Amino acid sequence: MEFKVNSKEFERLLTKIIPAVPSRTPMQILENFLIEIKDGQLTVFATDLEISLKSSLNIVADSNASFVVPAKLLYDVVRSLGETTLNIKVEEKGKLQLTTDSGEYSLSYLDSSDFPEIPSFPGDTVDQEDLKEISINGEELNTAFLYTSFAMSKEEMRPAMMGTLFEFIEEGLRFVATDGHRLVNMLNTNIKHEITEQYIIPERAISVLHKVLDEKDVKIYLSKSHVSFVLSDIELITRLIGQRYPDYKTVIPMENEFLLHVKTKDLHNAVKRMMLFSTSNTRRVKFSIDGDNLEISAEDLDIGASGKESIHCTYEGDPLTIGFNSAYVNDILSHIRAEEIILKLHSPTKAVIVEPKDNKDNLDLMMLLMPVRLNN
Amino acid sequence: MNSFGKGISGNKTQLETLQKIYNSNKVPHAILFSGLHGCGKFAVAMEFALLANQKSILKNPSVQAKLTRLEEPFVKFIFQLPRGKGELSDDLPFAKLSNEQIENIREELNKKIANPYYQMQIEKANNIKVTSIREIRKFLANNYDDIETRFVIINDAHLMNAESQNALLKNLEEPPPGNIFILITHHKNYLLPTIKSRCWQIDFSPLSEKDVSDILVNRFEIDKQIADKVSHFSDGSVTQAINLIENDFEYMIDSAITILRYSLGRRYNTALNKLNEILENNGKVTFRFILLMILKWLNDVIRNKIANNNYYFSNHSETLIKFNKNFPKADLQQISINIEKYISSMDNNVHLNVISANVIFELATIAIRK
Repeated sequence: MEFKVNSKEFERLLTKIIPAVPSRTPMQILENFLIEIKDGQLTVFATDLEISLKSSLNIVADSNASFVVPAKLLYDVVRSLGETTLNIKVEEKGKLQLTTDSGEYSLSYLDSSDFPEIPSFPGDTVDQEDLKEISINGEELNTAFLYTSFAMSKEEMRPAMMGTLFEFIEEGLRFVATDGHRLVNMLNTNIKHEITEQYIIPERAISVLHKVLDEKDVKIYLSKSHVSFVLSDIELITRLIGQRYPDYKTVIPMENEFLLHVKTKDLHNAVKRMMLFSTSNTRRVKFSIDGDNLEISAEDLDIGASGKESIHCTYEGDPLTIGFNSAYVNDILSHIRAEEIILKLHSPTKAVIVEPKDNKDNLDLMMLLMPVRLNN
Repeated sequence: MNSFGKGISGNKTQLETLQKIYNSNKVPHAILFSGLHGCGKFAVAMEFALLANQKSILKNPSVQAKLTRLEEPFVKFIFQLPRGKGELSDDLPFAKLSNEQIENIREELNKKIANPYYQMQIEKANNIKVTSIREIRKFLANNYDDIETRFVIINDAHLMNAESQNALLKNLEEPPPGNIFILITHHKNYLLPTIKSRCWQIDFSPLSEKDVSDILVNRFEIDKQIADKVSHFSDGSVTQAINLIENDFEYMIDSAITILRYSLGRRYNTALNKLNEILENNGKVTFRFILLMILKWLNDVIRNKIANNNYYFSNHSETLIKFNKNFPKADLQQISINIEKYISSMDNNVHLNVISANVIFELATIAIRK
């Protein structure tokens, strides 16, 4: 069989799919694209067994075909071509002939039956009874990932925390991520659905999605074991994390009555400077709050360096000295994206709640940070 | 449908036990297969994985191929890996491996998939990385309902160091339902008691000569005549048989007899030169096998003495009779024990020339005691 495709269009399609191709794997088949030509549509699949990506392109083809080609080689060849019409001929003896006006290239292909099965949504391979469907604006989803993804755990000890929780509740869709040191809890009241379940989306899927999401709507199919994000031009399929998400509500303190209002930028800049002086293994910074003065200090005894800064704040509460891991404070301040924030405190050993002073419409964002013990 | 164990030569007791466990619907979540290296533990593990998923296979026949291809997320196959250049303790198991190392692993893995009796030989792979063990947690965490039972198979589990074994404990204790661990080892004693106590243990016996021969013919395409001959010396291990074939079995037999002749004929220097020549030309593995064959020869002499005619060196029965006539009072048992000690001292990096000299002098005592 034979078909023609514009090389730039084909390159754009492959660029979207290539992130799912693993570079170091004992399973050689995963280093390939699965290409399916069916009823005038060319679909490219790639998977690393954790996430799968697929994208399609309309072509003119005389028949259907399915084959597996080395991903990197095909991608590099197509990328190097410039804009031209690429004629692809699938020969019977496992050879793929690529022809342009000026050149001929030959690639070997393999039988598609060895390629791992990728479920299709909505399709035959998924139990239709359990399948839920929801549509979310891509920008809203991306915002949620932007606020929450940094807090996902990277440690395998508790796999449930290596993902972001999608909790469908009456008020909307809640996104939660935590690694045990910090927690982000974001409720989007715009997204309402009759689903009342929880799903944990793995970190890898979130990070790939974060790069490809645009302002268009995303259709999400949720089954018992998989979730599929269908964007306008690409589909990402991933397995869900099957563990129970920790009961995050129990760690959110209710009695944090001391309120500290501060400009985010002032605090962030001061913390970044203090990071230079904090001990490399503990990364500890000290917040001393008294009246409307917030003193941030850090000390590295190993190299005999210390730093101290005062910034203006508005504080309602008793004087308090509390320690934090500066890297975690920095992460929170980098992602909160508000001009002014409120820190809700209670004591040096209780978790601190960080919230933007003005939550955006339909967004209720709350970040939580665990303090660290100070020596004195 | 019940073809369980049909493709397996030997290990009937173990297969029966597994069938009973499966029939009882009380399959333990962790099973430890222990026994001689190369007696078919992995083949039985794969067979059991198919049995435990027979309903899924009936529903979707492609599941069988996925299981036998050790395809994730159906099977998590853990094995020893080399370290990559500049690899840190947090790096993923394959992240820092070179293309050559990945290629080598793929080749060996494909051979293992094609033939479960094949012993993987990955260059510079000395232990199971702790990161490989940590990946199990992620494997188990994925939501899964495609098949009835997923398997985590840890090959050569004794190659986990203490850190890896400790990392495994939590998962081994209570994996999510529908997941079974199979640990395969020929050095059970290297495993922590806490690992062993969490596993249901199945011990494997050496294979019969016929089973070894059948496996050699059917799985390794070895000529039947050679397979029959080698299986006699294999001690019930396919791996041992393959090693013998790869190291020129006939040459090793001839060399063992030659060294015996020289040592008993008081031509010590010639015997020593012969052993040194073997070391130089054929290496440590062949040297070890030849010493093991000398032991087998002494074993045959003892068998002849007690009228047991099941010899390793069946073509040399007359020589064995003559030997017993010439050296009736030789304490062959003690000599065998001493030679065994010399062989095991090879693992402690004792200089091989010292071992050669000791073996020859040990054999020479037979003639002196005459």
